[in-house]
Amino acid sequence: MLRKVSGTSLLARWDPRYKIAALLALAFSFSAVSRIQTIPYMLGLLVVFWLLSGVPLAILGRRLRYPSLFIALVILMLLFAGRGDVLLTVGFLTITDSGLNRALLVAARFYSILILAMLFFAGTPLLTTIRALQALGMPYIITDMALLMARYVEVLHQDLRNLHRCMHLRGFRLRGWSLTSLQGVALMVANLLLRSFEQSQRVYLAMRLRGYGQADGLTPPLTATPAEGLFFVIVVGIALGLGWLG
Amino acid sequence: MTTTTPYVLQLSALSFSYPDTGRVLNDISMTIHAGERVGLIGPNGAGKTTLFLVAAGFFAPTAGTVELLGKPVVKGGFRPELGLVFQRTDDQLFCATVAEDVAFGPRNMGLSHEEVERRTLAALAAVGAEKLGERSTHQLSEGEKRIVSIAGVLAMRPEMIIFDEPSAGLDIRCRRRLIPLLQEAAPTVLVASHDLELILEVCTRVVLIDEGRIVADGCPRKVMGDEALMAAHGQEKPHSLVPHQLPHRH
Amino acid sequence: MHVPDGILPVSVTLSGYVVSAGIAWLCLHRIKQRHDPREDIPRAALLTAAFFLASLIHIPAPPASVHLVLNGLLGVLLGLFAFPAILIGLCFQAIMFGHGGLTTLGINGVILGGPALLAAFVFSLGRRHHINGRKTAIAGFLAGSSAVALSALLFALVIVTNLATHLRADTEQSALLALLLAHLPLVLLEGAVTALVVTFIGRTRPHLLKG
Ligand SMILES: Nc1ncnc2c1ncn2[C@@H]1O[C@H](COP(=O)(O)OP(=O)(O)OP(=O)(O)O)[C@@H](O)[C@H]1O
Ligand SMILES: [Mg+2]
Repeated sequence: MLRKVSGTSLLARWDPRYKIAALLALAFSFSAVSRIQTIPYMLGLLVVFWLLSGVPLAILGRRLRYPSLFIALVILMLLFAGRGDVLLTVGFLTITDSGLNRALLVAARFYSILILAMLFFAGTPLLTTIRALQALGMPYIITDMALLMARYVEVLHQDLRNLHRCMHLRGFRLRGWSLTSLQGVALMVANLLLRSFEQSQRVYLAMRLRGYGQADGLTPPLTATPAEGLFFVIVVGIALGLGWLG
Repeated sequence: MTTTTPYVLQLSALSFSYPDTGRVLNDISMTIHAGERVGLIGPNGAGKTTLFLVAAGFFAPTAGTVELLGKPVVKGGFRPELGLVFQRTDDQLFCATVAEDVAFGPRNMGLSHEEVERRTLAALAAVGAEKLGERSTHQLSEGEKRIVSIAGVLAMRPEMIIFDEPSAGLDIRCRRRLIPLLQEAAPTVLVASHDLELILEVCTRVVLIDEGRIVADGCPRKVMGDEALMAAHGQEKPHSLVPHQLPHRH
Repeated sequence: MHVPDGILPVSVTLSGYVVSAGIAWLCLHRIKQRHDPREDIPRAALLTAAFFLASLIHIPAPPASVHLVLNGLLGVLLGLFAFPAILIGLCFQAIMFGHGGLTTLGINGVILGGPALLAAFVFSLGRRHHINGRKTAIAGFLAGSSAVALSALLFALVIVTNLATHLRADTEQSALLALLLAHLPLVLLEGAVTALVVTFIGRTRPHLLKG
């Protein structure tokens, strides 16, 4: 009952402990790709996991937009300011062979890891991920904090929205560089912090009253089938293979 | 109030002040016996919530003692015999899903996984919230939150439950559902509320406090029917106790 | 100010994980030595959630718009919890928005969390005697701006040194300079906001600043 299974795809149903470990192994092996020739294997793997995850392409596209900003800068810099033999000159910009090479590698690695993480986390509730980390031996201070954060981030978000609305109704506008604007931001942040602090005092009392910290080993056991374990071994094997290809 | 039944909660000459305030509780003595349903009324800031926090051992009293079932309540101890349902449901429901939240207390009592699960299901059934088990706590309506936060305390099977403003923010239907819950939640119940009609329906005894002192203690109809006393402490006599309406009540 | 995936070699990202884990372990170790280590968890967790949200507020600062980092303020209010809090916040960002990087989680933790701990220290020097008034504001400004400045420096160093072998030498230097200059307004903004927030809290809830 306490183990949440949401999403029906193969990837979504995989034991979250294996999923996290496999994701890290794959992400690091992707980041170790250093030859253009290996990129197709990486992209092939991505397609396989995409099929296993059943995530619609449109969702992926939307979520790629914001993280692309910074990496686009890096890629342009590598492309136009690289060392090596000049391949092409466009106006005052020159593209070199090793510059092109690096730019392609960085782009492929960045987007592959980003998409892989999205595929793995889609259909895995945050809560399940935290529980899995707990089962993997993450210290209780971290997992308890994460669980409470997951619970209260929405509540505080509502608080922040209301706060913003109240300030807006009373004429406050966030506007560029001005002292009033700055003071408004500070007021918003300070109020949000104080509210969260006050709520945390009450939450702590409620937790204590129900025995917080009395018994250890509170997590319900997770159970994985041998098939899930086998899949994990295969995925880690693939990650190692990719790392070996380099 | 002289009975021979054993007491559940005994407060003796209790005084308390916060670090930066004057006395918030002033020489409070009262004994709650098994089976009693006590209502605690008083104006805003009278000290009701503070009294509960001291009784539950969150704050050490500056003078006096608190005893629960014959054993003194010490600051910071864990007493699953006493449950407290807080005024704000978002404080009470700190786990991400309903089922986890209800299971939180039993798990800390060191029960087996099977027993925890059994109690969770039973508590949810007792409040009629079986269907809410897998829902996220933050998505519930205020009424559902209230019901579930009560289930979280019921799952610990306490001897006594304290409710702080249980009907705040509820509509008439939710409030109706709440009344039998309060009556049957635990063998002994202490309810603080500004909803005097609720107190009248649920409680067998009522205590009126103001500025940290007990000013009346007795039968609900007698205390709340005393217009002069109620007015003196900023309370209004409940409508159902206004004389010409009395015959309509059973 | 997050190093994205894909531009650092594995040796660097793995070292980032090791260093981050080490610092986190030290912080947790110190926390566990307290009388009741669980007592501060709800406070740390909810404040972290608030910081997480505050960092999403976007401030129009022509010509661009900026997001606050607030790692200095986080250090001031959370003390030892600041480092684990930042790691958790980074995880949340990675999971919820795909923002920040997975293999670079460790190194980003060091870039943002290290200066947060430093800010806690800077602020504790300034408020040793007085909780209120101008001194609090100055200590707040220093804590807030020094944390972001240090983070920006670490960030620029990590990025540029790792791209250096692939860039022409002139570009390398100008890139470093540009990255640092781009963060200058943010340093001032963070200092000012931290000073204002700390002053506000000092007036309403002074014990929160006592660490
Ligand atoms: N944490 C605190 N620190 C300082 N003073 C407090 C604190 N909590 C409450 N008080 C003060 O103690 C007094 C009693 O407050 P308390 O919350 O117990 O009243 P109450 O009877 O529950 O009121 P209400 O009906 O509004 O809930 C009030 O004057 C209040 O200002
Ligand atoms: Mg109250």
